[in-house]
Amino acid sequence: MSLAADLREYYVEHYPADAARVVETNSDAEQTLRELSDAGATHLLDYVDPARLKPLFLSLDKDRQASVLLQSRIRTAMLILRSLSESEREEALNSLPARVKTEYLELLQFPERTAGRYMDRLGTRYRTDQTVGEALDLLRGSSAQRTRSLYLVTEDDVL
Amino acid sequence: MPSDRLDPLVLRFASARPDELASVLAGADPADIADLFGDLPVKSAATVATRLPSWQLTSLLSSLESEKIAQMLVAASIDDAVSMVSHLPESRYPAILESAGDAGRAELHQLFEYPSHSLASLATTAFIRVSAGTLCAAFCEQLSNSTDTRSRPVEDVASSVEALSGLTSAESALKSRLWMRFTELPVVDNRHRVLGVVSRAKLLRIAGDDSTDDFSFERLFTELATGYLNTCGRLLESVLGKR
Repeated sequence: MSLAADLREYYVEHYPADAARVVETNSDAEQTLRELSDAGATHLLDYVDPARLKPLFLSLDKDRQASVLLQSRIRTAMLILRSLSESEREEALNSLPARVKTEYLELLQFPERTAGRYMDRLGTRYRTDQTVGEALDLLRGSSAQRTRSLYLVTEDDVL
Repeated sequence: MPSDRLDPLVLRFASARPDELASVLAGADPADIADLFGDLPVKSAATVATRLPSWQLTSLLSSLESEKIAQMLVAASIDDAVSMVSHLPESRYPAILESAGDAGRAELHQLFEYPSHSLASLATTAFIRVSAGTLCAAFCEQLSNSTDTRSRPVEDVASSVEALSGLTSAESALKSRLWMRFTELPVVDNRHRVLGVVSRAKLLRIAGDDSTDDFSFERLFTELATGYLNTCGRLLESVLGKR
């Protein structure tokens, strides 16, 4: 990776809101987004003005679109999917793993102003039969920057 | 325009957070840094450059073209411009002046020329700049990573200094003009072998003590003992030398 690319990724990772404002005012925002890594592009889209999400998302190739939908916050993924036409949405969902596709389809059905519309995905699942040590190892290995609560679920994902 | 080639995110990074960008660049390859600065707008380039560690700034300026440096100096704030000039060898001044426009040239003349009696003209530019908050370990690493002198023989970067004779009195030594350039000077014997280093502060203290001219048995004894030991040493040296 070139030095300029390293700096770009660093800036997006540490100052995503500032980077999003730069992209929003840039005439070639799509090109800027395409030059970012998958993680960088996803992080940036989490902070971009929702009105700009659709063209930016569609400027990515199909593989990267799937990567963004998988890695982004639930809220961002829902905003993107809701902004797409029916055929575009179906195409985007079809490129996702079946489990995620089902989850997203359920989320899309939550009515406006319900908690389901605004929730974030549980990054790591903690089991009732795990030891504290195992849970701590999982927590340390997760990408979470700040965790207030760990939710315990059964093998069937039941809280 | 060179800056058209650079990503808008990097441009914003450089203009909004120059200190942080400079610290991120600390571990980067010098050639990559030079390429990046070639593309940055001159104002941002100057701001970020002067926040680099001293050795990195020297290395960067040595690889940038005179025209770019002239533009950076003209666009920089006065503090940043002075900082850049302090890292430039005088041999580059003519080329930089030549490549500056008419308006910039007058400004650069002012930057390069200090009155001969001013402290600025006496100050050496061969120093290493380091911020107070830098950790000693990081500073050592910066020194060992410095590429501006690393590949050159020590002789090339050393500056010559006149030594003081060990027999010179403190008062005479204090009159030396060398103190304008050095706070410490080497002391040599009559064969010009280095005996040690003496500081001006120490000589001042000694000269001040001697000015009292008070007689003391302790001082008399010390002088006699020193003379006796010196004589013994010379005798021993001549005997051993003959064998």
